[in-house]
Amino acid sequence: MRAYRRCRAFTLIETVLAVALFGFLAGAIYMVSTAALDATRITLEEQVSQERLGSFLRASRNAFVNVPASGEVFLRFETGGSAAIPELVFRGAGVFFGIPGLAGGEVILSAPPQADGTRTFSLKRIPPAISGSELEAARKAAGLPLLPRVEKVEWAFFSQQEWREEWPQGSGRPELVRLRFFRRDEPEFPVEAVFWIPPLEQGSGGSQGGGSVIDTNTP
Amino acid sequence: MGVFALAFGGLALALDSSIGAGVEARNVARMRRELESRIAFCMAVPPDPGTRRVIEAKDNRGVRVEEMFEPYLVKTAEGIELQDLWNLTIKVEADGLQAEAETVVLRQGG
Repeated sequence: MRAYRRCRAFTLIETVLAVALFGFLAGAIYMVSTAALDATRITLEEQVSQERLGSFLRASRNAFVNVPASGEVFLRFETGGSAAIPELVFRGAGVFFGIPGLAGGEVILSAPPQADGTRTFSLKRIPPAISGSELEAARKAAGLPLLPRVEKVEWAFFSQQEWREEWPQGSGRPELVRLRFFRRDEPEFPVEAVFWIPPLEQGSGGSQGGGSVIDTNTP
Repeated sequence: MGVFALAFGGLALALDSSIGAGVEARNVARMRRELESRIAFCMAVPPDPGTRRVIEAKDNRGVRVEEMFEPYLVKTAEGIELQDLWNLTIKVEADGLQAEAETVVLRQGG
């Protein structure tokens, strides 16, 4: 008869507990790693979005600073759809937003509504010397999209020490233009940018000529 | 357990850093926009010469602004002092971040 030999090993309960603990820890690590990857993706998307916003504002700033003496800036309301869409019109100006071929006629910066309920800043050009159906088609054209997913777009114009919400054609050259809007991705803070248009006349109350940034420190 | 704890801690740290980086990038961009807008505004409406114009954070969407407009003294090689040059300094501060810009402005009479 074989002698009984006692084996040293884990019991079933110990094994089940160890596997359960292993599974719990593995699950926790999986959840944290997934969250970390999601956060990284959101951060990257946010950086791209901020870069796009920065580029749009930089291009707008350049467009305003470079409005020539013969150029005109005014606000018009396009009433074709259900609600009037404010359109900022640059007339008789040169190259806009660094895009060649936009010179001449009118260049319109507006934010028409999109299917998802947001608006997209877009740029379109109305060529000079067109009228009738051609003009209508050019005005209804989609335009070049610049900045998507914006809401509540407001323009204001500064002249003679006060801000005005309307600046119709023939009002002259404003000293400053303010653009305010919300981004769908950042609804808690409005984006507000002030653009300077260099004055033309000597002693008009504005600065005589431009300034140049010689040192900028940003963290 | 130790290995699991290390992995968990590392991943939690990565998550925290990632969220922090996103928030900081957004704040830096917001301050940068504010700085550029204030430069534009000061080109049309500068502070009184020699004074400091301060806009508190509560009045300006959480961004504190400090602006100074001082004569910019510069002489040519012949010793002639150039007139109507002003130094515009703008500092903005929000959420513990700071940014500063200096601009030389040509403006008659300040």
